[in-house]
Amino acid sequence: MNSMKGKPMNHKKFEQMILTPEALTSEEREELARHIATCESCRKLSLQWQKASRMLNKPLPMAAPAPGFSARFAHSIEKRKEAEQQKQVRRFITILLVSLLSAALIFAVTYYSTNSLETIIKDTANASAQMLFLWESLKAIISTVTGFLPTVLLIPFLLTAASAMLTLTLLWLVSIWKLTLQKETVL
Amino acid sequence: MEHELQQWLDEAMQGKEESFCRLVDHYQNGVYNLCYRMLGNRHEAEDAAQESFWRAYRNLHRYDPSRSFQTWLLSIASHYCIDQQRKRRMTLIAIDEPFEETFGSNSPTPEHVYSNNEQSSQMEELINTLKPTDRAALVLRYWHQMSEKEIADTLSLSVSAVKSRLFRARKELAEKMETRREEYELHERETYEPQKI
Repeated sequence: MNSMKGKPMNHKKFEQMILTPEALTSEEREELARHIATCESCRKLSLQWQKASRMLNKPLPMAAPAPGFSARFAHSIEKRKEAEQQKQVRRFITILLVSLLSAALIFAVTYYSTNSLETIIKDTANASAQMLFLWESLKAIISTVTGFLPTVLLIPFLLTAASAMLTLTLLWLVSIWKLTLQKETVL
Repeated sequence: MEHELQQWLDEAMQGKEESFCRLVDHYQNGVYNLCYRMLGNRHEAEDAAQESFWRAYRNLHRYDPSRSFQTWLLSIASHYCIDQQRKRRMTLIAIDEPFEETFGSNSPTPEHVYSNNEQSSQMEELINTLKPTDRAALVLRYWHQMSEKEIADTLSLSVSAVKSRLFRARKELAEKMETRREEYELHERETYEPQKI
């Protein structure tokens, strides 16, 4: 079945011819016809493909969406934009928090490993007082600003404020770290 | 029309949302049809088509105007549907709902419609058993009448890869055709013969 007069046949070549008949020259068609006449498996494939091809080449109907597709899309744009904006804000806040926590961790490890218990207690008390003052000031600023700022500008404002706070915190941590180093040098 | 489409596209690229919605209106059938043929489900096709347009809208600045806009849209939709199918890891989607076909004004007779639907359904079922990218190549070739070059552009493949995928898909279809036809005929006999008695 897979050979002609005992010789192995190149079925791949004929399968290619059967399945892409549009690309065949007249000589190739004749060659294929001769082969099909003697090869059972290629004849079977040819018949099967003719059936499948007839169905595929029929004018196939186009599926259409339910009416109002573009209106639904237009309506969804605003929601998708909002969702994307929220995603970006969440991503920004996550990065901000991770950076902040990492910086705090590095500072804490460095600070606690290089200072005496007395210095740590004194510095912690000072830092807590400063933080409390900063927190109260921040609350006052936010409540004042949100009172007159339109909702559209609120997110950019909060992002700017958060960035500024991060920078200030980092600067504050760096300055304390530098001071600690100076103290150590003096001692 | 071409001029209008180009104008809407230019305006959309400048950020005019309304013009993009006009483009959606114009290209919705092609994109939806591709998604439907790829996913085999109306609800998923709607979601996929909406998502494809949204991705196109968001990435409009990346669109290369030397390419056909329709090919670009279909490329986005094809990749999305291929990803969805891979996620589902399903090789066979049960066709549990009749395909809603849109016929033109020269609709054939009800018998012809029945026969066509029946055959389309069989073909759909067979196509749904193919690998996602092979299926996409076949859908673009036969439902969208794309050339091998256009399919290659749409699916980000080489022309030889498209030829090889089409060859594989056709061979698989041809081989499965007979088995499915026999199964289908047996099912039909079992379903309708008792009613004839």
